[in-house]
Amino acid sequence: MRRFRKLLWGMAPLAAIVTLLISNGGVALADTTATVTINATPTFISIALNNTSYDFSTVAADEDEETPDGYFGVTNNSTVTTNTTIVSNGWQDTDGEAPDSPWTWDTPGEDQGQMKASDGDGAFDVTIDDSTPAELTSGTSAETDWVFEVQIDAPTSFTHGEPQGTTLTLTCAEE
Amino acid sequence: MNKKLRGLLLTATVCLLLALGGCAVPSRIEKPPVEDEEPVKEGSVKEPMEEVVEQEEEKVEEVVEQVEVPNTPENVILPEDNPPPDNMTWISPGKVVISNFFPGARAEYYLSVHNGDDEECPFVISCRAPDRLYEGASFPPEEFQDWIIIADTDPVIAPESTEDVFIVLEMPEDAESPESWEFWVSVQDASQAGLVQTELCSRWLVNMR
Repeated sequence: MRRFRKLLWGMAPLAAIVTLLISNGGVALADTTATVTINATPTFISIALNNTSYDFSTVAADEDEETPDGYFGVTNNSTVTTNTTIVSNGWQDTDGEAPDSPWTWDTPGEDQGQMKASDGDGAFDVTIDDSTPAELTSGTSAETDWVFEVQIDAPTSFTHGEPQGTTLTLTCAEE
Repeated sequence: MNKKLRGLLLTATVCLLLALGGCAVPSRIEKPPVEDEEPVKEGSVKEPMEEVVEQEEEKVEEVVEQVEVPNTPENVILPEDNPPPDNMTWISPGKVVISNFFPGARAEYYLSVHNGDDEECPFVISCRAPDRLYEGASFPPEEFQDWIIIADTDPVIAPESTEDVFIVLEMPEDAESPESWEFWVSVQDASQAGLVQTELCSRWLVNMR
């Protein structure tokens, strides 16, 4: 009987420790789950241009040359309201021959010029940057076509006659 | 003497019952039956999750779980619903919202890209910082591009055909981010030339838990 009592006294703390370990483990494991959710509505983003090029030909120093009104037509088949931005990749010397002499993309100066855009009103109040996209349109309703124009702000003076070009990227995304 | 003995027996019985009760605590989310899972193409979401759990002062246990989230109507994109004409290039969806995200989690989705040209056309797909943000959202962390996998960054798509491009966002466990942040998935027709070119973007908003 004495042996049995000793055995029971010895088991009690052990059972208590086992209880503590298992019950704590159960609670901790129950907190390890979570759910990541992904939601998307079946919207479509779609724009296309009727014109993609324009030849400004010879540009005089310190002059602004622009495309005709509504020259670039945008067919908008997006099924949701969209915003559009425009950005340039800077001036490129396009003759492919040395020396490579691109203008600097900035407000007009010596060998330095930029472009502006307008959203169909000829105001040219959107200054196009060569790194940060500028907003050209916002809140354009679904399936609503629109037009825009661009303008060169030519350098105030030239040190060379290398032909120049740039690429303007028109980005369309849901509002 | 008998009382002491009864007390001991009672203590031991209670301890054993508690121990058995602890073992029986359910600790995992049940996986949905396999037959309930939709094909991945339809926009399913998978979330492998790893979490380290501290159990005792000196004991750390790592718990790794794979939680399959079954498709619900709001999780499924239906590109066949009222798309633009076949001869127009489009992408879908325009916006993806990931919620309850956290370091170590993974989210997957398909971006549909349609070539509206009457000739085979190369596209370039990339992820980039947004031009603007949703209210309350922040720009992505500098290293966010390392967290995104685009299964095919330069697909060549047949005329008037659609390709679903698999996109994965996998955030490292030790990474940090704002509570809500945004990135864009850009799609460009690589055959474009001329002064003006177009880029279509899908906005991805990530809300951390």
